[in-house]
Amino acid sequence: MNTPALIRLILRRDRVWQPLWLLLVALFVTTTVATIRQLLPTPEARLHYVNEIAANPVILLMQGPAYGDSLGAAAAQQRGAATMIFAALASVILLVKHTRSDEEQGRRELVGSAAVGRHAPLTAALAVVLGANVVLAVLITVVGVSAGLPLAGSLAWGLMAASGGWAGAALAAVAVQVTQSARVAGAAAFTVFFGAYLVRGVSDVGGPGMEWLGWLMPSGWILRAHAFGGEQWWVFLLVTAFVAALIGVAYALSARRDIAAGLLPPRLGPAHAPNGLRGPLGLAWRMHRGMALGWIAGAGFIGAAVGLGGQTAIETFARSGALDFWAERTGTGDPTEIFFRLVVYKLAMYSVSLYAIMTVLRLRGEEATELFLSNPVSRTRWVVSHLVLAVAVPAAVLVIAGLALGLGDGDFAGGLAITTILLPGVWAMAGIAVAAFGLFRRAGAIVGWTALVLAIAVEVGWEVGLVSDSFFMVSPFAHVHYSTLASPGPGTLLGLTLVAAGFTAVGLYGLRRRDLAL
Amino acid sequence: MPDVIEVHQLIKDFGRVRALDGLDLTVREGEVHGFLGPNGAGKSTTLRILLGLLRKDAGEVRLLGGDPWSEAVELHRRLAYVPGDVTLWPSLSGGEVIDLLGRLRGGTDAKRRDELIERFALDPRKKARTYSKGNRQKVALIAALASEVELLLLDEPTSGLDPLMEAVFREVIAEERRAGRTVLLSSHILAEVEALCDRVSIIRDGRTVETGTLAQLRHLKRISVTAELDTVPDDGLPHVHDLRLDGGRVRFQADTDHIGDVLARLARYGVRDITAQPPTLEDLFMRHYR
Repeated sequence: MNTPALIRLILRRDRVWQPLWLLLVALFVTTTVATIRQLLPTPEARLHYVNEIAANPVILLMQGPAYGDSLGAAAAQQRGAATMIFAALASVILLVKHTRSDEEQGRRELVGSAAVGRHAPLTAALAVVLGANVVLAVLITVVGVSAGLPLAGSLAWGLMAASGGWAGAALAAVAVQVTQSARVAGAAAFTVFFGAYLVRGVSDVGGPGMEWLGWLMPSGWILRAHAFGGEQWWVFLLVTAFVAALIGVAYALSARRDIAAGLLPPRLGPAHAPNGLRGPLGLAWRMHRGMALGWIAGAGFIGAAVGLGGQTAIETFARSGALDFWAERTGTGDPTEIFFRLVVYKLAMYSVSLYAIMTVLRLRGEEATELFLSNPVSRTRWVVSHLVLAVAVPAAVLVIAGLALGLGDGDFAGGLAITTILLPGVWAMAGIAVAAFGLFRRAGAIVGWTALVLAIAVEVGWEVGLVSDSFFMVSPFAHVHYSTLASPGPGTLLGLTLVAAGFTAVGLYGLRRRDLAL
Repeated sequence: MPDVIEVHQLIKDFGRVRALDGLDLTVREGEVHGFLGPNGAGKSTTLRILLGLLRKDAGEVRLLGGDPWSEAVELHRRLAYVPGDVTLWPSLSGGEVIDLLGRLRGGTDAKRRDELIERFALDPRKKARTYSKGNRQKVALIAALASEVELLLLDEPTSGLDPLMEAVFREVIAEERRAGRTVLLSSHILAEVEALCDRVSIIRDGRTVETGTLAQLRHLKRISVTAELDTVPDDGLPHVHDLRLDGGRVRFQADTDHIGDVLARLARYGVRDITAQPPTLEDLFMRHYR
């Protein structure tokens, strides 16, 4: 009943975000193909890449194996999994937004009191998100073909990304039935997806004997579509069956529960506040602690995987000359070291910056709670309480990751040196987010995220040779980079920290002068 | 003794929309002041400026002798606020929120806290995400009432409460008044204001249209009269308003200054029955919004 009206409502509410994420993924595919074409221009270079680099355990774990030595196969190996994961993330966020978030905020009740069927909101959200992923598949196919890749492979890549989105949406559809909190539902759905993806990675690292493990995981099926390498189309039937089954479960659960309730009964909390919940900092820690501990644990896990599984393998084949082109492009003499740093940098820099910005922008949500700022708490103290966590948790994440890296060869100091050097760059991004939040009343979040997207885009552009060295140096990332462009010494680190402090000061100044967005 | 709240010619714009347009408000120490107006009149905006959450564009605002924008933190130690739309932290229990807010203001009276929780029949162990609007409001009210502050700023505090809890709220505010606390109570529930408030300010479109004690306002205004007459006054009545004829029955509002003349005139038509009432707050209120 009335599902079409709800679909129109969702499209209206998402008229910016839906096209934006689809275009970002398409752009990502385009730049990947261009990068690979530039870096691996000849069949020999690609064969070399596939046999040497793509066989590296870390690459296998994070990106999956290559299924051919064509341009398309190399590009799909490099970024195919990333498009799938990004599609899953976007789909989880959007599905949760239009189901559990609406319930949490009471909008669902308003809709439910109108002539709308019990399942209509879930159906509408699924229709939009699944539909968006179909559009994504078409977009990627078009982008691939227009870049000169074969149609079949491009379509397979498109379907891989869309399958990730479908699986994410289906997992989210179940998660939002189970828990009452939109935040928890989204985190759970994505963690299950990403966890399954890493298990698939273990199966790929483990070789043929472990292949069965990958077949237990939906993300394993998706990668085994063999894009550009003799496509196995039937894996998409498996994905479709999996998605259909999950959606069936979601509807069955949805039929059993009350609106705004979850399947898990709400637990009672304490009647009195614990001693730690005293002031702004105690409250900020309470708000952030779940995610902070999750990130620290994740950093330890991934760091240990890279440290134990990857380091020696990287060194062995780095010496084989496979990485000479990277060494040349990034201006270093020792390919071993540069490649290991590159792997760590790519894993840590973007994700920890993302965490820091997310932590700072949590202020936006808290701002609406007028109850808090009507207490004797200055705006500065309030911002600083969250900022402490945006500074300290990334530090903890990187220290744990660095120590875990050292598990492989016992060189803990070396591991720490590689990860902690990134910290001032992360702080600078957090500082920019504070400035955006303080200066802009409503657009703070968009400005903060745009800064991260720009920094990544400039870096990718520099790697391909589109962006000059001096322009890249504007980005905080350039100064803690894996390449020799950066020579992070005490001076750079101090400089970046001062930049972070400067942006923070600007943000605090702006916030003290503006109206709160209530 | 300076007044607790002094607002003079306050102006606030949101973009091109003028929310407050020369608002005046004076709240004296120890009084319960009713702040009346329909939705969108500017009540919440005024309270948020008093709290330093929003910045005034022009006019004078003094709160507890200080400037609410630049001295917000010091002033907030001496007041407690209950927003009209209470948003809590979904993962915290009600008891945790009450304690946290109390500690931020420098400590709560534990006995008073427990007593209020009992009187308002709140389960403090429930997570804020599971509370209804009324229960969220209770959390904010208990936190405010349990803190030992001079001034309470309450923005439509009973809008989600059931009649039983509304009665408890009235009792508690009456106690607060006896204890000498100053309360600014924004509301559009006229019976509540009539029962609780010493003085009222009525605002409309961001401007103050009436202010004073209820007695003063009534004195200045009109009396509603209903009478049954032998003959119908075809030629109308002087000094009356909203005259309605229904057979031999007349209903009208008379200016208090001319009530004697009106009664004398009425006597000519032969009065069989008459009731005269002082205007209710509702009459005063409606007069400004009709």
